[in-house]
Amino acid sequence: MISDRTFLICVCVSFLFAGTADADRKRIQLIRELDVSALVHERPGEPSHGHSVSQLKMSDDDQWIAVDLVAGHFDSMMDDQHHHLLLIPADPKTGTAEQFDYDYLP
Amino acid sequence: MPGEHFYLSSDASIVGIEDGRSIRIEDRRNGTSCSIQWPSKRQDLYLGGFIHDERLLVTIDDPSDLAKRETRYELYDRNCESKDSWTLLGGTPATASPQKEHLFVLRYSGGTQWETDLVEWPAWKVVNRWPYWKPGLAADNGHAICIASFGGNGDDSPLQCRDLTNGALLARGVVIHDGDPFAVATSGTLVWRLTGLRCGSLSRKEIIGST
Repeated sequence: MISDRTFLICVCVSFLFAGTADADRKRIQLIRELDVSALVHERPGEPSHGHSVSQLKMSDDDQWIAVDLVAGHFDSMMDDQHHHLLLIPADPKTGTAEQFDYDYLP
Repeated sequence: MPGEHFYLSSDASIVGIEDGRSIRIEDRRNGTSCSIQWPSKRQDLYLGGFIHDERLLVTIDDPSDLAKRETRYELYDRNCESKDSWTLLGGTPATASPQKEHLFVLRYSGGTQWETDLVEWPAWKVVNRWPYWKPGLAADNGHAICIASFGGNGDDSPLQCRDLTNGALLARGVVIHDGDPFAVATSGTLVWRLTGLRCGSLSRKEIIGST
């Protein structure tokens, strides 16, 4: 999927497995919605392009969300790709997003 | 799994990135960056995650004769200094277990024989092995291994998880098709897969639902 605006939606999922009548009940709660593309800092002179999400990860302490964005189409692992790796704090009060760019060479 | 472009340490203070023909380590705590260069044109580097939170596991693989090659596993600190290494005949790219003191190695042992070894660090001792020949990812705090199996038809490749204590197949009642690429929650019990534009998840309760 590629677009000019890539949104990251964070949800909290709680699984209640206690041996009660409420067992198996699941709760999903929307925590936050982010326009990830707005966080990307492009290199000066970079032509306009969209982004697609290549990978998502979370730190083990659940404090940081890593969003790996591919500049342009994410069509094939056989092509060179420029990536923007964004580290976004799960709680916006604890910090700001950081960006690490890298190139994938097949 | 082998081929992932980046890994986070437990608290994300260190980020390991495969950047072009080098491995880059970003130390966010100290605001520094360093690189591990490709050893030679004949060899490949693979990121494998973090052991003991701050040791980045890197496989140095020589894509030559599988049975004769000695694969090297290095552990780098946040300053790109190698702190430990190990070699294994027939080894392939390794991944760290969420238990932080183990790694999984897919190993070729000749003929049609492949196995998955669980290796304990810092002794580099093989403490368990299973006759699985596909790259796996540890799940459920290292108590289970999940394997993407490629069935030939890309839309019909089941994802399976096994209990590491006895090798029992989990998710007997659940079939996930097109199970690659996929990821596991390192400290949790969720298995995620990406199938085109769709994402799915399983809880352990669903994985072991039929047992």
